[in-house]
Amino acid sequence: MSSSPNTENKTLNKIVIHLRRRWLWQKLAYTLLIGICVGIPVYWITDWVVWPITAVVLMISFAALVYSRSKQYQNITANKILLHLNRQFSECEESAELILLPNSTLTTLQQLQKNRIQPQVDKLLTTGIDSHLPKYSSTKPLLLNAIALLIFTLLQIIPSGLLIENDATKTQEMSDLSKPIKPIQFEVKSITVTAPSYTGLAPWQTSDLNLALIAGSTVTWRLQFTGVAEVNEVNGVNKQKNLSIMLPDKQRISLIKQADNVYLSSATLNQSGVYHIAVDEIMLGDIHTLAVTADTKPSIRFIAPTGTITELAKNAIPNVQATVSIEDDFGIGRVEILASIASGSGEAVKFRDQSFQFDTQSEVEDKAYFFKNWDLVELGMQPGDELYFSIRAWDNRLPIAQQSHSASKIIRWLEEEEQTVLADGLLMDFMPEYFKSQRQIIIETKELVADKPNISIENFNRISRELGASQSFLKQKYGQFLGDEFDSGTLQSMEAGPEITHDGHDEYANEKSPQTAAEHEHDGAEHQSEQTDKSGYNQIIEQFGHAHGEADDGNFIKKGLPSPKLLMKRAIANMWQAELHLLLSEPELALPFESQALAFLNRAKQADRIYVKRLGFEPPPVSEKRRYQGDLSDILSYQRDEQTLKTNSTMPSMPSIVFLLNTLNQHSDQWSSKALTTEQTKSLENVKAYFSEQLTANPNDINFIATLEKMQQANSFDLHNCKGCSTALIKKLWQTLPSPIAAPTTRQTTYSLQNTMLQQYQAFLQQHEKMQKVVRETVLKKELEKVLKNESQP
Amino acid sequence: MTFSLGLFSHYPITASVSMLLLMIGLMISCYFAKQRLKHKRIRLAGVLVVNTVAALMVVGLAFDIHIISNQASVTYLVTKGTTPQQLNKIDREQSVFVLREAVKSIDDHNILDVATLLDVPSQLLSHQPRFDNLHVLGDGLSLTQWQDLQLLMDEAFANISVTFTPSKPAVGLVNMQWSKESVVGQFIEVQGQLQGTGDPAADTIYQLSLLDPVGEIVDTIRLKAAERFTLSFPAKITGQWVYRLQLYKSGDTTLLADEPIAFSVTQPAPVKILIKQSAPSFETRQLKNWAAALGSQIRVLTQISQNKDIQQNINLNTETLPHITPVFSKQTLAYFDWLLIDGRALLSLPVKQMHALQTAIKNGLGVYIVADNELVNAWPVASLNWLLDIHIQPLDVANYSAIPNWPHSNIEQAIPLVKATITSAESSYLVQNNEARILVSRSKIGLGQVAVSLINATYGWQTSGLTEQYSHYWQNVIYSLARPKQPPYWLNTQSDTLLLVNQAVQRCLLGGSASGIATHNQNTQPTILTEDFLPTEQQCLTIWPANEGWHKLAWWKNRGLANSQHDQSSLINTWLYAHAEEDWPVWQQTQKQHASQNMAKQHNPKQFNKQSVKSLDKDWFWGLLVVSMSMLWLERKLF
Repeated sequence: MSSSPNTENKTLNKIVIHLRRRWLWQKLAYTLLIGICVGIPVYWITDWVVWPITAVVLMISFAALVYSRSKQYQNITANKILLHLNRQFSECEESAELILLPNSTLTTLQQLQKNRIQPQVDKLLTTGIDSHLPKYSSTKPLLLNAIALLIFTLLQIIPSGLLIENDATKTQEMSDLSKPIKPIQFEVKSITVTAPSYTGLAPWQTSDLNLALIAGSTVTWRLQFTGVAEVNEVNGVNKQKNLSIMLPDKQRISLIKQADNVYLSSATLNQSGVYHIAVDEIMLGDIHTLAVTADTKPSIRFIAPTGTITELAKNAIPNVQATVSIEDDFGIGRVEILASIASGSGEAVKFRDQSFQFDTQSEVEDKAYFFKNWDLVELGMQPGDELYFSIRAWDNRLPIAQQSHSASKIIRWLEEEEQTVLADGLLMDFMPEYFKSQRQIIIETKELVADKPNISIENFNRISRELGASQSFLKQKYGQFLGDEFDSGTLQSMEAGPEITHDGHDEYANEKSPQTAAEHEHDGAEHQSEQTDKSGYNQIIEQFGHAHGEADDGNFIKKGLPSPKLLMKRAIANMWQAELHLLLSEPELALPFESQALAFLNRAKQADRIYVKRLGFEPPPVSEKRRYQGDLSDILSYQRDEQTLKTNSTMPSMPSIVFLLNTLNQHSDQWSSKALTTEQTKSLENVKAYFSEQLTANPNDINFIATLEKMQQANSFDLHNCKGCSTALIKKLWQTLPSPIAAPTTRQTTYSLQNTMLQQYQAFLQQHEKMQKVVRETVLKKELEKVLKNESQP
Repeated sequence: MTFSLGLFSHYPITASVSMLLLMIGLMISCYFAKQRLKHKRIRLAGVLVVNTVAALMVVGLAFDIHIISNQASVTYLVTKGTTPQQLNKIDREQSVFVLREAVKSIDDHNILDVATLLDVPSQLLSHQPRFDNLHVLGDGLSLTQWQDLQLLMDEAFANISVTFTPSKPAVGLVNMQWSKESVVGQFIEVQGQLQGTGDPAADTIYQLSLLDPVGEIVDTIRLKAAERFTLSFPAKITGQWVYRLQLYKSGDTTLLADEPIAFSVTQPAPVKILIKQSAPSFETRQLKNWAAALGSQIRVLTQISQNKDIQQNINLNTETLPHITPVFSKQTLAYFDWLLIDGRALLSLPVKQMHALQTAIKNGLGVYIVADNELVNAWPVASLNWLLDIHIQPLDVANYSAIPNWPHSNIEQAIPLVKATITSAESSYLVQNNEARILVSRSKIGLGQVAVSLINATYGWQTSGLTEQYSHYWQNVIYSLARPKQPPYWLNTQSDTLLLVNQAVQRCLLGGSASGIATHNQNTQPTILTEDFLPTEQQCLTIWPANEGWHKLAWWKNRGLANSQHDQSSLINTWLYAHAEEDWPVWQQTQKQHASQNMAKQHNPKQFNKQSVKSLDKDWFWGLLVVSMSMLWLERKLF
């Protein structure tokens, strides 16, 4: 507790209390100033209001406690005040303090003095001596508090931007002190593209550095550069900047200075790529594309004849009209026909090559049509000969024209007699005299159909059956050369013509006519064939194909044309059907099959000639040395180990494409912060190479090459000057992906096969199964014994 | 208003003593103050008042004061989707809490003046530790949020009543399912349902498009509200991909929904294939070429004479070969995952090898038997009595062909088949034709599976350029039959889960070793894997993805490998996608409403407590006590 004044003089006591209070207020005011200086920043930082105020209040309270116990506070006593009055007022006679002392403690002199000055002091105390006492003014600290509050308020109100701006202004002023170097910039004045003269295209101008042009075009760049001279001055050396254009394939062309800072350069371009402007081989500006479209070869299309083979009957007019349409993007140069005439047959075939020109040509809707009339007699051909011809066309490209070659067409002048068929080294030599030819059968069938109203039914049926027998003999004769066995009388349904329902069978079921035997024979043959082998073709197939019932026609079709063997089989199939109908006395139904059989026969005959023409070689005779002797000593092992390389032979760049696609797709938020790794750079290079290979087919891919190049130059996937490029690249890479090839994979279970519980349960099941088996066997044995016992009993 | 003993509840007698002492102290202090301030009445009055206030505050601090009200106390929790009409029905005298996610959707901002904002529902307990009646409005809380609340409230949760006022259903996609992990070529099937507004009269047709990662449309369907849909497409390439589902009204260009379908495509582990054939064939040759090119380990045994086979090993490790030298033994069969064998070869197996095969199948080997005429004609075979649940009968036809159908097949041409029919007791099949006849049967024997196939000419697809369909067929067959994947591997995510940012997700690893270490690519420290209780081979971890997008979890066999990060063969990765909170809003709404409705059913509002008790906040007592004491002290010192 603080000591309170307790003198007898109440006025003095009041003065002491008053002084003390003023001193305390002054100190608390300074304390408040500290509180404000601390509290307000705390509020700014934490946004708390209550706690800082509470803290300040507590601080002031604590300060009041401390100050009130302090020495200075305690030293403000009545004695000290009286001593102060001694100094201020002479009438106290330096003995004002005596009034506080009790008389019993004073000497006589002191008492006298005390009595003398007591009234003076009393008078002084009552008159008001405030002005002579220490002030202990709180004005100054309160003023400081107000100033502090004002400063903090102003700091709160004034935006911070004003302060920072001053700094920026300063920085700018400082930077203005040093003289800046202007960067080199360029402006496109014009770009002139002159296509090759043979194209007939007029030169054109553009200001876009991304160019699309024809291969062989000459491009002239006119660019105006600024800042080049200043750079040279600043450098302080008389070294001129080397301005150039870096073309694809690291080709560099210099920009030559003209007047007014305009630079000129020119180049002839033949391939697509990317290029950029360079200053001392350092890239200036952006990367630009060159999409070069190559001049395509002429395209040749046959209008007539439409089919590959045109057959003329022996007695037909030996004239064939050929019409061809030829197109080119810029112009056609020369056109000629290469022809080859084949005479003779078999081993004695001879070829005569010759070159022809078209008779006439015309132009309709920018397409050129060429016409040629082939007169076979004029060409020295005879029935049985063949003419093969194809078209060669050149365009007008300079310096070297491009050539196209069409497919070959064949004009065949047929002859009547059947000839030998040579197929796969097997000579099928036909036709003893007593065999009717297929053509003869057709003629006689037609005669029979025509005579039907004029002859009796018995004769009609007899003649029809005879024709059927002839057809059968002919069929067997041809079939034998193919190794067919006809014991089962199978029907070759796979190669048969259109199915015809045998409704006629029921009609003749009850008749006792000779044809019934044939029907039965045929039916029996069919029935037998149904039971054993529905299709005789299967027998043939089994001889040439694989086991497990597989059907395989692959070997019979070579280079798009059926082999003679296949044609023979088809002829035989038609003969079967023809035979059937002839035996059923339906010659009108048999005719189409007979004609088809003849057609296939003729094709088979001619097919071997084509074979010889195209391959033009004689197979060597079979050597006995090459036949297997059953010697297995060369077989070192029955085991072979190999490793496959997991490369995509069709798209070797696929791993890089996938890697790049995954990288671009996943980490788009990290592009700006990271430089490219070695692997990423390599993938960019590989993908760029892939797109470069595709440029001929897809000239627009040049844009993606440019994007990849920009990424390489920037050493980052983040391209500031082309925001949509990465998205377009991702889209293109995705579209490049081929259809997915599913890989073998196994499923996942939520349990492990090594789970103890599972293994124990499995063991339990196996045990259970064994026991059940034993029980079953025991029961069976008992039953067997019972049965045997019953049997043994009488 | 009621009092309870509060601090003195354990020793009630001390309450009386304390009160007495307080009264005495008050009287004494008032006396002395009166003595001191005899002539200063205003100051005396002030001191007496403040003194009395301080004494009363002491009483308030010492005892608990409750106010009982006859009005039921309801705690309102406003979630996203609450309509203004629902907000108007809230009694503002009660405690109202609003989830921060709901603030945007609330137009009536007046409620925010009286409501307390919460970031997560469980924060409610820090503002109001006890409540009896909870009324949830809007979309509701998710199952996880309910579980958190239940966990924090413990037994008290069982005694609360829950009322749920759901928000209006919105048009969007709900009940979605798709597999989050796949391999190249496997079809991803996206299933779901279109939720409408619930108006039965609405007959609007909507258009749903599936877009690939570059924005190209993969498939489009038209459907009405409440209809289920299925969209499927093959996984094109390895990586982490996000397809998108976009919903429009038919004929309108306004986008109603644009949701991500995220999945990860990986390269599968090599499958070990054994082919045993009685003669070379195109079928096995094409199969071998396809599987070998994609990294499978293959052994082909081709019979060349009665007792001799030639053996071709492809991609087999030279270290493994000595262990599988006996070509068709139990040991060898245990190594392989899948066996393809033709009928003739199967019939010619000696007894010992047949037993070995049977054992291997029971232990998990998958077998694909290519039927041929010999097998068909010999069926039923005594040595194959373990396969007697299927019946094979020859067909007496010239030719037999059919268009095979398996999941996601798109073959349009018929393929020649073995002339037989297969019927199965359980009608289980892998492939059937358009008339639902089995072309490839499927039988489960022990842990393994056996298929008998009438198809023997799939090589025709490969040679005619239908490589995609060819590979898909065999992938489907091998996937269905082969021995399951060997651990360790990460278990796949459930197809119907939706992982959001800042939500806990658990992933489990099967077959990991105790020394293994798991890492999360967004966390520098390894993540702890804890062993599961019942399947002890399973170890699980929990992460809370903080960012939207892909997160990678990796498991290393040991810490050394994790530190070096060079040995990729010891690394097993898995990816998971954390959706943003704005993704799948309608699906989230459905899930939350479903969970909240279930919770409301379990916590019957009939138990509504119609009386409420409120405790006075002691902070005020404390504050007033400090202030009054300070004032008394200051008065003493300064004046």
